[in-house]
Amino acid sequence: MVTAGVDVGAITAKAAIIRFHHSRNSTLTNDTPDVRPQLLATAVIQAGYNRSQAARQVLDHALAQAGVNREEVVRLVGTGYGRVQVPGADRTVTEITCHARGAYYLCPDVHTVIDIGGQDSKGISVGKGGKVLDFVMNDKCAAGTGRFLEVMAHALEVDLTDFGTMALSAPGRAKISSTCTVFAESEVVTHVAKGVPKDEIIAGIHEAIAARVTTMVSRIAIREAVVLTGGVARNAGIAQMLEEKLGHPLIVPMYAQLAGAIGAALIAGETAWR
Amino acid sequence: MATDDFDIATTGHSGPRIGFLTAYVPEELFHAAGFTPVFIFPAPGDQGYARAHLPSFVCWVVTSALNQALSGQLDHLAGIAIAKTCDATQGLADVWPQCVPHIPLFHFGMPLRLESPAARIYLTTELKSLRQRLEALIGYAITDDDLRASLSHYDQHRLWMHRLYAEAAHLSPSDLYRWVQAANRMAKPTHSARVQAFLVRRESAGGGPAADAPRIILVGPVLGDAVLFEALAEAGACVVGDMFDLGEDYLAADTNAHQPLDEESDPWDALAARLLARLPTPTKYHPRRSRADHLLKRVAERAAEGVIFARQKFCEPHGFDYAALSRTLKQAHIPYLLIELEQASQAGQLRTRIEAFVELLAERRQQSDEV
Repeated sequence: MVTAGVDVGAITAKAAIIRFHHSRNSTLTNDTPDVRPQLLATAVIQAGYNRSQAARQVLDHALAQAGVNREEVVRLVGTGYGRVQVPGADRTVTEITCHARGAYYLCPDVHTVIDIGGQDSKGISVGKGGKVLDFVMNDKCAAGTGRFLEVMAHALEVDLTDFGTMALSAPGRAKISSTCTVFAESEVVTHVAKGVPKDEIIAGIHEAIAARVTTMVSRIAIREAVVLTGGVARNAGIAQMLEEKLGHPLIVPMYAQLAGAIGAALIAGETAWR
Repeated sequence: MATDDFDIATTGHSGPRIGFLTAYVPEELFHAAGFTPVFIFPAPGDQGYARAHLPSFVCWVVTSALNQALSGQLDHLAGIAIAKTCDATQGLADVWPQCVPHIPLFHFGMPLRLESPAARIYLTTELKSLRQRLEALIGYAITDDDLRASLSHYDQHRLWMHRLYAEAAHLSPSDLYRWVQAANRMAKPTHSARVQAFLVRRESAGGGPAADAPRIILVGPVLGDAVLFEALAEAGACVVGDMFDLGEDYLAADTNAHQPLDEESDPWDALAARLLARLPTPTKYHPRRSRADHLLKRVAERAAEGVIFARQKFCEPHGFDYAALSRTLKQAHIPYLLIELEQASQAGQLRTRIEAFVELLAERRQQSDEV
């Protein structure tokens, strides 16, 4: 049985295709290759303005990569901010539930998930089988999200892909005290005017995000293993500074950005058995 | 659901209206004076008029009330009644005569320590003082019989609302919200008649949430945002009760505990007793009426699976209340969610939070069934 999950976020759309070889009693984490659900393919594209089109395209990409026809997909679950805009979805599930399930698949020891996406950040306490026990989510403010990094990278004229490594190689960290994106940007401008080195400002920005996310996540019980998911997980600077602030080692799985889509595909499989 | 069930314009009531804010306004007395008390629900949109007079940390409920008044939206009111509850409403009462002199203010004192023997004496005196101010406005006396008749209407309404809440699990959260909101804005005899007719219609209609919909209790100051109820409906949850300041504990009375007003008794004393007997809001204190115990009891009685705190941003009393109630729920292993509502609540994030919470409850139930 093949299932698919499509995660339409604020910035990117992601898709995952999973093949289930097992009966409903098999566990997600069983390491026996013929029992554990198999991740066949994934895809990531920019979400753009037309979310439905992005959802369709990213699913097509993943299906092509997996060598699977759309007709073979027995269940499709949509998740993410644009979950209701996934054409043909059999069901929608929030990204909170999907990231928990996806992180559990990627790291069976997980007890806490920190998901930092384009416009949201979340802390999720995870129980047996990747079930959500508790969660916190940022309010409408964009600070502590991928959008914050984008705004700052733009203000400093730095490519976003270099942002994390520049932060890690900086000899010092400028102090960014504001937790608001708009005010933080004006602080950055002040640092620039004072001649503070660019990499130290970038390090300060990363530290500010890590501090904000840590404050938010501390509202739930943080238990190891702590797994970082979402698009911002690709930023090594955030991961390292978050680890410092949390005081817990942080696991960044290879498919961190795809945890939501993977979780959606897994839930699609669970519901197919019911 | 009839389309005009919630339409105040079709109530046939052409009498004057008194706007009111906060729990503890003695609605019955205003009704006895010939007015329809209408709660001033916060309205969306720019709050620019009020922002010129109030600091930014004042909640949307109070800010919006002043904004509606300053922008002429409350000019149809014969007056506004504000009971002493939180600092923000007290501040609003302070600035009202200067800001909105054309809408008379009826400021009503309410004791803080509800168990004190002096509270009832003070309250009765305060009610009679309010009666004099109202009589000066209407030009004739409010008799004991007038108040007794009003109390009777409100008693009847509380019984109907009790029956409505008993059906809550079978109603869409949005519909329940509209009924409760209408109860705060409509003449009680009219609302009672409409609830009665609705309950009769419902017996044959069916519908509403699924039988296995996750059961939720809501806690908060006022029903400020329809998005919350729409999100609950979309997530497939049902609301089985609430602890809003102007919700179930105010509007509904348990039929078994209900004691009809004795014709010989003093209606002023009865009204004071009613105000003191209700579940204290977070701004009041009563050593033997714990809100935490009340919540736990309600959760147990309704077989609720989770609690959502729907707090207005900057509402300090409910902020402190949340700390105490959430601790109690945590100890009892009852899942809860805090959402903060404000004038520009983001519907997308609100929906995600509520849907995720409902998913959590559904998975919790599934796990417990498996065990």
